[in-house]
Amino acid sequence: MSFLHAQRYIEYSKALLKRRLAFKMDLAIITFFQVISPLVMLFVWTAIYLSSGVSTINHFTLSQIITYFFIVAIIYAITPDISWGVLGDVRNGNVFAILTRPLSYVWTLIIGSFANIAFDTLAFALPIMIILIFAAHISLPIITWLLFIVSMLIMLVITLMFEFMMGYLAFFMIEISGLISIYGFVSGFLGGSLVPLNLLPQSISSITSVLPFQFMLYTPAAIFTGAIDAQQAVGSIEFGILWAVVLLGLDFVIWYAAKRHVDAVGV
Amino acid sequence: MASTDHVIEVANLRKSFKSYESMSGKKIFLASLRRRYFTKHALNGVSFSVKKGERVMLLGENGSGKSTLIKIMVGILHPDSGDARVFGLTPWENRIKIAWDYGMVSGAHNQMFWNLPAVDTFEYVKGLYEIPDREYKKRLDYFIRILNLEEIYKKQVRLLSLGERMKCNFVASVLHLPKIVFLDEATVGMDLSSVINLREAVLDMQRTYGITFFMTTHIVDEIKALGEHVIIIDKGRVVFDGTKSQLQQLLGSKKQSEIRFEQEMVGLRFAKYGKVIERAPDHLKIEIDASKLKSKEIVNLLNSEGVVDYNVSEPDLGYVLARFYKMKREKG
Repeated sequence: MSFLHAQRYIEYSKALLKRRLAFKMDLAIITFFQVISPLVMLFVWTAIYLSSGVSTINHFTLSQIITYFFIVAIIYAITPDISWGVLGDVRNGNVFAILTRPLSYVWTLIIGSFANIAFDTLAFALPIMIILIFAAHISLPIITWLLFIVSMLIMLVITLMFEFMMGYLAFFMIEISGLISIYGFVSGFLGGSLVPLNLLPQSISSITSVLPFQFMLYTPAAIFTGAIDAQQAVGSIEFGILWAVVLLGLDFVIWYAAKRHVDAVGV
Repeated sequence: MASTDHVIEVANLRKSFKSYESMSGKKIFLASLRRRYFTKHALNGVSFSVKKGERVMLLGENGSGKSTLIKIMVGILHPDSGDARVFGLTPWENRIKIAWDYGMVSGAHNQMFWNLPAVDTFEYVKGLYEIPDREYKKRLDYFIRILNLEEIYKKQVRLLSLGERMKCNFVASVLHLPKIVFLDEATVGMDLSSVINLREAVLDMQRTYGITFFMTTHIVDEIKALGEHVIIIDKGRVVFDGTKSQLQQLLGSKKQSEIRFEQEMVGLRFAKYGKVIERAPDHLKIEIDASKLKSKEIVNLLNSEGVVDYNVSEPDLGYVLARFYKMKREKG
């Protein structure tokens, strides 16, 4: 990207956010859903703890579990849906509108994602975080905050790389909505969206511990709730960085192959 | 291949697409599984050049390769082989560089933000190309005036009619006053007065700013009004490259004559001298060889009793094109 004209991507992002704000009712519904979804988990897990009569499950207290799902909700709130976006662009010909301007399609996705992440952090993640900290009286040592922030950055890189990969597939396959849904479920489950990974049976958690999906939800949430200590967190972050580098390389290779496939979508 | 007065130079471009057709059958499921794959040769060695400030009409029937050619020239498609230069650069290797200097309007693609007012897309274009405030206002006022956008440019694009959207598409694509504008069936859905105004805008922009226009259309009036340099492609090959008047002479020394008469019987006498194009109880339009028109027999006939009026003209462009396409099809 030529930085002489970096302004054009800011203009693109401004237009992108304007488009998001155009439908106020939809935005209100999404906001409501983002706040409601961790509350559902609150009821489910309260029922589980009360019915089983235990105060901890695998070292997790009820309040830790609830905090865990609030962090999961925050992560979901700020993760941009790049794959759905690319699919939409391919379907309705938006790729054409971008490629006939002095813009790189990949850079519009990257800068657009940053704009969306910034917007979602301010609009959803921070309010949920503030509610969580005050309602649950959370006070974390500074080192935990630092590790949490680093793990959130790794979460963003890995999630974006997967999202980009799914997006590139749209250029090859045109219709990938089924695949995106499956990816969403699998990555969610293996990332710890339904059950924290350390509560899964040993056989399954030994598999998830080598896969990159853990860094997309579980690791930041586990660091924040104290399910893993600082030493374990550092080890996990190192492994996460390794996965981020591998996926970044893979993305470059796939994009190189997908680039010429712009032909196939008939833009 | 570089030449200073040529903005576009294309040599021996070839492009094929792999595609498939479903085998027809009553069983829907089986039909969707049985596909016949084939290769479509969209461009079969296309060469031409365009001078700076020209108005070029790229003509050809549906599926002749016009849009593929334009997509290669704007850098979004890679050809299989051949060479192309736009402003001296290979478009598919320098897409972003050349995109600063061209505008692209396509009847098949929307350039506007669907759920925002049209003016928001214009503002985005202003920011993208860093158009100064005063200049932007001046240009926008100009387009609002000539394309009658006053009532529509602040409305959401999704609420506009097809023609209104196309007018906005045009503005969004030329606000930065590019060196070359590609118009790929850009007047689709526009009302008559807007089409006429858009043609005037094209002529005015060419005169005032020396902008080159590269256009495709199927509307004969548009070819008549805007065509200077005409290129016709058929099955991915250039079959004509010349001026509009050269195109009209394609049918050789043929002229068109329209004769009005009082009785149908009078008109029938003319039919044997040429090919009948149009026939009605009170008039006849024939294609006739220029040499025959000077013959005593015809002159006498034209001045005989019962003939109310007649005129002789160059063949109508639409008719020439239709004949030309038919000729090419028959040759296969």
